[in-house]
Amino acid sequence: MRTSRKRVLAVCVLILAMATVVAAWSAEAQTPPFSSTPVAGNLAALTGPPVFLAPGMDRVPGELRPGDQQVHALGDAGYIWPKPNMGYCVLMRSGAGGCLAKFDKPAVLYLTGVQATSGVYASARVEGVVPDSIVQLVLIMDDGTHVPAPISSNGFSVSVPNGAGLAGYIVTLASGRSFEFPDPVRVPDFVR
Amino acid sequence: MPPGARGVIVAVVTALALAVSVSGAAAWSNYFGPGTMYASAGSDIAVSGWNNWTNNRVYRPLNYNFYLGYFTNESGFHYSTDNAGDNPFYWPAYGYNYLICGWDWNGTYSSVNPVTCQGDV
Repeated sequence: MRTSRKRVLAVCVLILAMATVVAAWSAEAQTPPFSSTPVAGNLAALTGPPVFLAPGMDRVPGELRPGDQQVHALGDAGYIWPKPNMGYCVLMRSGAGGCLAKFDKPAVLYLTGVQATSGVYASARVEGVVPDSIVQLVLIMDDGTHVPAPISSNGFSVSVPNGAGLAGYIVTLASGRSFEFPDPVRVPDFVR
Repeated sequence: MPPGARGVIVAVVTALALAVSVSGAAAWSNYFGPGTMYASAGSDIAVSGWNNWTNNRVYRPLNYNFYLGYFTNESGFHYSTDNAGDNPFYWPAYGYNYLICGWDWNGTYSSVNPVTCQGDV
């Protein structure tokens, strides 16, 4: 009789444990993997030491240049600075950039390169910026190639296969959770 | 291969033929818009006239991917395409003569508005 009670108790505990695990898994599955994230307060690079010499700043449209605002490095990938009424502006190593106030996707990125008049592509590169919540990024190119994009001070800049577009990326959050985020960016074909 | 990219060379040649020169323009010039771009070949792209452009940028709603480019006789088309998380999106032109601004429509929308493509000298 006593043994039977113990068994029932053990089964109950087991069922409770399984229910807890399933509930936790279900809650995570239902949580959106990424939600809109403001740049302010979510970019550690902005608290880093200011950069006094930012090569290539002359490529930035005049009124979007930093002026009196402090410029911060996005690792070796580029620079970021606050721009009143526009959020923050970035300049990537290639010269591409833009201004943003929030991340609606896990990354704001640029696919750059050259296409010769023969149609051949060269110098393809993907660069961008991510919020603090993103700790790992692997680019998924539309030719099936996976390209790890190491993040340093919220920035990344990697060579990618010439002529390949971006299909999306695999993101790992600071929580350890990973997910695939489709974000197609195609390569323009100027000589078709 | 975005269908929107079709006809760029044709557009450049057309621009040449029309002698759309804005040489001597100061600061930013609109070479498209503010206006609507459509998801059809030729209606999804703008090409500037001849000038020694230093910068190229586009203002458009978020989540509409655009590409910016310039052309050089030596190496061809230099481009940058973004994933539309920023506004404006800019790409330098280093003093070359033709700017390109195109909407990389992906079948989701039939048009995008407002779009303004600007070049700076």
